[in-house]
Amino acid sequence: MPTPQDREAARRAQRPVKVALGILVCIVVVLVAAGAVAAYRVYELGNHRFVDQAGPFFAVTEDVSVEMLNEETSVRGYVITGDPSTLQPYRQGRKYSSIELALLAKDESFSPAVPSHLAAIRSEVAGLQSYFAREIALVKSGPAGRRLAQQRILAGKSLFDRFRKTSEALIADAAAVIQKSHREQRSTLVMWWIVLGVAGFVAAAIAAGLYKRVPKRLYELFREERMARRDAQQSADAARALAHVREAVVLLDPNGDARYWNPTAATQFGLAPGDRTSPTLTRVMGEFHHDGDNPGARPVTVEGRELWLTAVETDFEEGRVVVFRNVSDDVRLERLRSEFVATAAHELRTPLAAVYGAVRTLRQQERAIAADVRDQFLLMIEDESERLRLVMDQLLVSAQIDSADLHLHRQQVDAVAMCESLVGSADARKPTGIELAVERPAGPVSLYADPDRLRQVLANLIDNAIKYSPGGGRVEVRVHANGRYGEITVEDEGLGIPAHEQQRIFEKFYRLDPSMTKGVGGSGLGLYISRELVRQMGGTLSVESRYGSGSTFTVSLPLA
Amino acid sequence: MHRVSVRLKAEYISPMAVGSALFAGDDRGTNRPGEPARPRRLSLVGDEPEAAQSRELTVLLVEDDPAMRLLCTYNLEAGGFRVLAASGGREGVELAESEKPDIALLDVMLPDLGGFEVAQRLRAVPIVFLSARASDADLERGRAAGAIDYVTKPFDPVSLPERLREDLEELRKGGGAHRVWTMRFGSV
Repeated sequence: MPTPQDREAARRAQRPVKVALGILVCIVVVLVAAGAVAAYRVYELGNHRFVDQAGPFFAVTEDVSVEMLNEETSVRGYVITGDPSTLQPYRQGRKYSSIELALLAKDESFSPAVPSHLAAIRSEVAGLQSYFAREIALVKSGPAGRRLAQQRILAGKSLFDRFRKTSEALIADAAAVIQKSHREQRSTLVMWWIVLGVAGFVAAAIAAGLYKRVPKRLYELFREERMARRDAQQSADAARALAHVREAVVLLDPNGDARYWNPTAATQFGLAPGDRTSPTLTRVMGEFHHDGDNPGARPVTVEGRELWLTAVETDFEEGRVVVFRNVSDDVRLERLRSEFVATAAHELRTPLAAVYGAVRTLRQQERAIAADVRDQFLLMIEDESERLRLVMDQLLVSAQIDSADLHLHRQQVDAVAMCESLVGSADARKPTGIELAVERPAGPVSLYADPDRLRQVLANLIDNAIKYSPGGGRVEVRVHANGRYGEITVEDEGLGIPAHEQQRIFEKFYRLDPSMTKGVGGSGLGLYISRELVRQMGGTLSVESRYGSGSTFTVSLPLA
Repeated sequence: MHRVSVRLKAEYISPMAVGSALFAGDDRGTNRPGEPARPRRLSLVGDEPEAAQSRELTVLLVEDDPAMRLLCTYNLEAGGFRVLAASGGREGVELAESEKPDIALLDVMLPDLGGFEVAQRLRAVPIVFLSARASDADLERGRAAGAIDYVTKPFDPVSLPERLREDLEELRKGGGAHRVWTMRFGSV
């Protein structure tokens, strides 16, 4: 069913064609009319030809007979009267008739009967002329001659009658020729007009047929062409879409040869134009077909890198489409996440185990526990509870950062006072061998920050500095202004961080080698949280470190 | 009694200011070289040890967390064990070589050598892991490392001596580590 849009499109497609066909019909009509006019003109010209040929012949023949009549009358008058003046017409007629006879001789070939009639009339004219000449000679010879001449008039009459008959036959010849020519011309004209009429009719019929039929066909062609163009556009769009898809898409024919693949597949499986497959693709397909029932992600080594891929296959009549999705990042994140869950559980369990263990020990009724030992257990419970609180706080802040749910209350903060207070409290519980110091700037340094969050960040940095200085050493906190920013650096002389780890330590859940750092504990969130907090306060947290000789962390925040 | 309590006090360092704090070594040698191994009571508790009926067993405790180390030491000694406490893997291996403990209680995550690595080096010493990592995979790793038992935190430290004694009892029946493990966790 054609939709209204289709019909409208068809109308639009037909309009110029109708105009073109209308013009064509007009041209045919004009041509046919011109042909008719031309045929008529040719007929007219033919008429002129007959006027020029048969017409004059006709007239000249009549003239000859008139001249001969004049001569005859004039000679007869002379015979009767003997008056020489009556011979005037004779002389004139003799002169003209010879001229006219000569004229007739020119055009004797237009009708087959003419030459014999012409020969006859010539001899008859010659006979009449000699008769006239003798009669005139007899009249001039005297009265006897005149009488003889008068007796011979009847003979002249019969001569003249013969001439008249012949000339009439000749005139009839010309008239017949003229009539025949006229008929022929007329029939030729009619034939022309019939031919032109038929041609015009056929042309008009063809034009009308085209007018009716062609637009339909043309519309179909238009539609086919438009559909082909739409198909081409669609496949171009599809290719463009597939080019920007991060999944590797491969179209396989029933033989398993690759027919089409997108750029991701080309790079991932090393497929070059013209290839039917590649070693990597074969291997990957085999990997997924090996246990086809399990649609989960599979590790596949591609160009020396381990990728986790999932494959989705869709069969259709001409083969199948396989979409490989690289889920390496998801797998990595999932690993990190489950690692984090395990680590977080571990970090919660450790202090919980201490609290629980201490309580269980203290509740051992049958033993007498020395007062100072009991105090140690109580102190342990207090400390480990605090440690639990800190871990939970970190988890909470991390979750808030992730859900962008962290609300900062920025205000003017005295950086020097804050550092001194933090170092003071750390000093009270530092292990032996650690020396803590604050280097004060000349003037006050006021930062624009959330004081609670900044305190959290700095406490974390100072704790880290102490934790990662297992052999003791100096931990120095410096405060100074640097342009529009205030900088707080925490420098230790501890273990330091290997160069390749220096950026990763800020990643979420990232920990230096767990068995190495377990001794100092941590959820893998401290530096991640610190950097995020500083970033959200409009500052930066950076690290400089030499492995084995300590680290320097720098918090840079806008001055108030 | 007084001596022990002072030692314990020295050993417990607040985890809020965690540092080196490697105090565990100073009181480990209760048996002098050449001296016959004799039951010695280190416990600061009770006149009558719970496990008086058996000879004093030596346990190597490798635990980096001071609080946990204190708890275990206290309860194991109260349970009649002689405790060799170490805060790191290397130190633990050294202690085991010189003192030949009857059983080793190892934290899995340690600052220097990991618990599994320590277990590998302690040949012929029955291993019990002590860890806050408690997934099936963690337990399986412990089993694969040859442990006879795997104690997950949090646990009741008061019953710890009893548990170690049971483990050793089961081990004595023959069948190796596998038998004890099966007793604790069922067949794999």
